[in-house]
Amino acid sequence: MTDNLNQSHLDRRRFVKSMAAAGSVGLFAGCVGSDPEESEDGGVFVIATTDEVETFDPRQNQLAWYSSAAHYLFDSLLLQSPDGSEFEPHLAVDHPEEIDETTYVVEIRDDVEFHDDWGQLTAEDVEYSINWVLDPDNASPNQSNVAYIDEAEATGEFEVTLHLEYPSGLMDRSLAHMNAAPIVCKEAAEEMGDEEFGQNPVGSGPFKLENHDPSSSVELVANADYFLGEPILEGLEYRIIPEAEVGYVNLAQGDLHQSGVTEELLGEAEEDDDIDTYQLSNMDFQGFILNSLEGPFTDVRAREAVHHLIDYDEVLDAAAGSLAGRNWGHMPQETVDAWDFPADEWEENYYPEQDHDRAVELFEEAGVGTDFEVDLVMTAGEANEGRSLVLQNEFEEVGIDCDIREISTGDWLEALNQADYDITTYGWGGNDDPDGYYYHMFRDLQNDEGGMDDDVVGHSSIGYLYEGSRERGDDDVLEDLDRLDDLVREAQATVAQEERREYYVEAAEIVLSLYPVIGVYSAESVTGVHTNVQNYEPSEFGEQEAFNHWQEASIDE
Amino acid sequence: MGLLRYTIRRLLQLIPVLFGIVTLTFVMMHALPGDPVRLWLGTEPGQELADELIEAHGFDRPMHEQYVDYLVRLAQGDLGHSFVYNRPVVDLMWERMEPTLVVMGLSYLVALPVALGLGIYGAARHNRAGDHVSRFAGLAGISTPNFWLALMMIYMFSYNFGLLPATGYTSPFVDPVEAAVLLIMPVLTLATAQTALLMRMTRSSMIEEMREDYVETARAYGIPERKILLRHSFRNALLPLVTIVGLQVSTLLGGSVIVEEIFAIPGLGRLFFDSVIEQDYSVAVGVTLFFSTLFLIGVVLTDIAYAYIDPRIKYD
Repeated sequence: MTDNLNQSHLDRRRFVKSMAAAGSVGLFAGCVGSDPEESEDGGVFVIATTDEVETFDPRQNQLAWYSSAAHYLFDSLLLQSPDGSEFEPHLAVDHPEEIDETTYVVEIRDDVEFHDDWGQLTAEDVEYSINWVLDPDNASPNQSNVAYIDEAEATGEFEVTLHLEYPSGLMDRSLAHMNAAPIVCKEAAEEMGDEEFGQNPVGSGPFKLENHDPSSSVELVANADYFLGEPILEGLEYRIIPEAEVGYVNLAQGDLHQSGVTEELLGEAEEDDDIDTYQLSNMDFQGFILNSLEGPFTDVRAREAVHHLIDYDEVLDAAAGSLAGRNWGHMPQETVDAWDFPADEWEENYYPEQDHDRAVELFEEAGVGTDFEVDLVMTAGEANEGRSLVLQNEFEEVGIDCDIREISTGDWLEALNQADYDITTYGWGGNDDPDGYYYHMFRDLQNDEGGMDDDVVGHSSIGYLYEGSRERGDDDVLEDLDRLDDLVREAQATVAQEERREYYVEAAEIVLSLYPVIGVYSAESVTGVHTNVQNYEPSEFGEQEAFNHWQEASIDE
Repeated sequence: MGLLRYTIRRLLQLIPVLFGIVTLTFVMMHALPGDPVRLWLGTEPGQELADELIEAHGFDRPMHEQYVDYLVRLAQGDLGHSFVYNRPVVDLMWERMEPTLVVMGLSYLVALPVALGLGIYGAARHNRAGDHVSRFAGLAGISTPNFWLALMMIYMFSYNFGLLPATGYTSPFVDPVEAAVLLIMPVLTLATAQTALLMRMTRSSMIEEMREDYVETARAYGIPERKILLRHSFRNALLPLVTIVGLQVSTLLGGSVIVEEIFAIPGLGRLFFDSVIEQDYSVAVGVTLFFSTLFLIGVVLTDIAYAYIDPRIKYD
């Protein structure tokens, strides 16, 4: 999928798993049998993950957990701080220097070596890595994240010039994350070819690949020549355990150091003196989409009516219990806070109190009354089921029949393509930048280069609102929507944060006033860390958390 | 007809059956809604990228063309390339074959002697306390879903008592001791239902045989009961058991998917499960073909065993 610039866009695994309401952090969950290795020198940090690695090449990776783990094997030009507030120079000596608005120069460190004697990391490797992702022939899923770059050019042994297609407010972010511009060893990648490089990665990160037992474990060993110094930890081991609950058992047994904790097990984990728990935002959006192409919700008043039907807190509780927070302006609270968005104002204007009488009035004004049936489509999973049942109940309380249809993920994608639903449950994983939500959910896909095919799942955004308004010749709404599309595109292509903020505030108010989606909550996950892990705090923002500029973990046995 | 000719004939008969299985699996996988590229990319694929991937993997071609291509490659021993892993299916299967075969094999090794022993014991103590206990145990074993049993074992032996590791796999050819510890719960989970079913079959077959006239005659001749039971009745009771043992391969294969998922065993069951979820066609068909072959070989071996056990049955 096209995606934004952090680990948490709704990639394939997150998407499939979220449909199953796994309810765990995605990065960590699970464990295996034998004791984690222990050592006076720092030990091996053993972490559970639910999914197998499909490729170690971060340029081809689609898994959220590996986007994060790849930071241990590869480096990026910048690195996001654990509190999410800054992007620090990493391979870069300093932040990219602006020559003009579409030309930036990045000076890179001259003391970085690739693993296993593959030589020094130079500007040529950076040039190669970025241009490889940009090359459409390579079909990299990262491509859209660096699409603002026209070309990377090595203009010195340790100097790279980035020629941009257009300025981007997301440049720092893209240069910091593995799902955009990871730096690989050019010589190794060319010599091995894609398939072999995917199994034998050559990066410059603080750890290097030691062993991979398919579907079982990934072992990394400390890179003694790392440019930030040799890690205290001897190594890292990811153990692949599909069931999060089983993973927690191993954490409780002391067989590993970090694992996801499901909501059911949270109480036990909190009572365990040997486990510290961290509740982290999933940086996502969870709610419903209303079909605004056809059916009962084509009129904005009918869509607003649905917003009056529900009690947001009740929906949140039924869907996610304590592992969620309210979502404002279709962004998680962390983003709203960081950007100082007017959440109170939005709440007052666009998140009405539950009022069934007002809902019925609005249905009447929209001309649909209450004599209709709602086809509520959902995929399997407790979170989807919980929120759907609450909404069904609200409809029925005002005399509207609502059928819940549970379908497979494949059927759901088809239903989105065909607009075969009135309301559907929906989730979108973004990041801490508003672009992660607004560009992907609210732009007009028809304005993308080459447009979109009729049968494309991109309609899961509010594409149907654009399409429906055009079909109905609803000029007022179209005017708003055109402005919305301009805003989200301009916001992405604007560097100054304050200016971007203004764009997003206006965009949010347009989207909220048209009620095409019901944004209810942002999910959270709990990860448990054994207390013998020192100087380590997981973060929803930071990468390379066991060894970076801010913290260096060790195991204290 | 000699054993060799019979075996060859039976193996040749497997070819059309396997062809049917491949066809059915291929059609069923392609009949699933959605396509693997969009499932892989998520809900908002860039059109250009989606088109490139769909074309590169041939998913845009008519299904019959994809099918013919697949059959041609299969005839050359090529199970295809995984869309998700970007690797040959044969490599993926080879890496994961050992754990599945080890767990299945050990389950049989546990289930067979226990089931036969309890079955014979139950028949010998027909309608007495020992028989009632073994019948109840058998009923409980058959009625217990293996996913529930697996989770309960983890809860009891790993979480509560800390006796056994909850998950993981080590090859018994590398470290037999560690492997044994890790395999106790998965093997017992998989073996429980097999044991229960085989035990009940053994018991009922044996009870039936014990009512035959030749048993009465043997008793009249003063042959010891133990000898009658083991030398005469048991051999005659084996025939239906052999049938069940052969057919149980399919149950074990199904159970292995669940057991591997819960105990995090890196086997073919998990590979199959993931490939279906991700619509990784080549992998799903490849693993199905392997499982089917295994099952059908089990059936052929059963047929061969019939004639060995019962001389009245001829290889023709």
